[in-house]
Amino acid sequence: MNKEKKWIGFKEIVLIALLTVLGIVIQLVISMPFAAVPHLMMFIAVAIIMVVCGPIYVLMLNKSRRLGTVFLFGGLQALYYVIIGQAFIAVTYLLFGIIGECIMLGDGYANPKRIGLSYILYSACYILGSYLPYIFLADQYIENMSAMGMSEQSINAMMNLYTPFTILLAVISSCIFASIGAYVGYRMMKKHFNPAGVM
Amino acid sequence: MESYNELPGIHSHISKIAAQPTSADDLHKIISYAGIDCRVRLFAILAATLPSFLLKSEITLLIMAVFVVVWLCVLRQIRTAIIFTVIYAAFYLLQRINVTDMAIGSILMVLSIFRRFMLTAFIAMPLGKAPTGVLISSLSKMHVPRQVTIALAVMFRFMPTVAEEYNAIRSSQKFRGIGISGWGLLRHPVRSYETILVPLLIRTTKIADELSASAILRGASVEGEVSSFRTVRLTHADCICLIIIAILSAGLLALDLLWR
Repeated sequence: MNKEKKWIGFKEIVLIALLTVLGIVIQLVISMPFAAVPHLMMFIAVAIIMVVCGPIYVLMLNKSRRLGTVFLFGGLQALYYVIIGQAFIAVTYLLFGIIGECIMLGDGYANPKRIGLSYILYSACYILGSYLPYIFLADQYIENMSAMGMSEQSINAMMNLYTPFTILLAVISSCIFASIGAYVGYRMMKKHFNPAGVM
Repeated sequence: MESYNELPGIHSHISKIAAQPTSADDLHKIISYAGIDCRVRLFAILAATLPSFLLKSEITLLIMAVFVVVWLCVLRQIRTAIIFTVIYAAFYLLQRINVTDMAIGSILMVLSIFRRFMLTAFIAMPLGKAPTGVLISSLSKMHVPRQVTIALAVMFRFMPTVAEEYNAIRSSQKFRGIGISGWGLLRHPVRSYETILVPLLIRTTKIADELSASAILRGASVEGEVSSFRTVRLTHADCICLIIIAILSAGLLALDLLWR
């Protein structure tokens, strides 16, 4: 009986699925206006996403304090990205699910710092998953672009946007905004969710 | 029944309701769920993921786009097929423009990546359109863990609900003078955050509670194979479809290697 209660049950699964969908929809809506300009997308859109989605993550982990929550969250996001055809980011999200679950072992779900840490890990995985393909699959993109009839110069200028250095910068900035997001999440918990009796 | 005869309006209304499900033709339509099995739809997504990622030549990508249109037409989703064709053709034509400017070039590059991902996304769409009962039942026949099945079924259904809830919250807040225009929302980010996102989150958790309560009452948490009101089985046509999808996917990859 005791052992069964440690793992996520039916109620938690439904909650996690719905909040994951809400997060995905919000991510889509926010990133749409920025999609055309890579630098804005990398730094500004990701920053807004991380701050806005922080409360969702904090609420989810506080409402379902059982083993498997983080893994299911990462797994569902991975599934979504497999369906829309971005296999690489799906792999990083699965990794996030496993590592994040390890962070939460013990009494992690009651510990705000560990929840914040796993959210920061999530944001790092988000950046790595979306931008590392530009480095690993650079040849393919260059081939595509030259097939489109672009000059060599502009192709080089564009691929220079996605250097390991800029990606590292993006990871750092998204980690900072993710910690702000987690903080905002706890503020919202105190101010709105607890008085509203959601918990 | 006699008492209703005195009120012709109500009587005709009731008989209309009663006649609908009892008509043998309609009942047959409901039970024999026409269309390709969910397992085949799932396999199509997996079979499409690899080519959409690996294909390099433009010709094979175009052939794959044609396959997507055929797939949507076979599943009788003509509207989705038309939407796909229009968006894909627009992106394709945009990329034919000769560009030297870098800013436009980067936009076009995002489009070219998006064009790839569109292929799998539209192949995946029919899975979301399948009735929930059929989806859960066929996934449980594949021995997919119950946790994943339920989460999937709930996720596909919740996407439109998010928009509905958002609209309801927006209209009630407009009534109070908050965020009457989109610009107003952007000008006070903190206020719109607290007045729109927080209610949306609270509504979502309430919906999750209600949904899981009603599902548990109907025995959704009981272990064992799930059956469906509609018949779920792999027909010969489904098996042939599965083989055709596998051949097409492998063929695309082979063609791409040949034409490189």
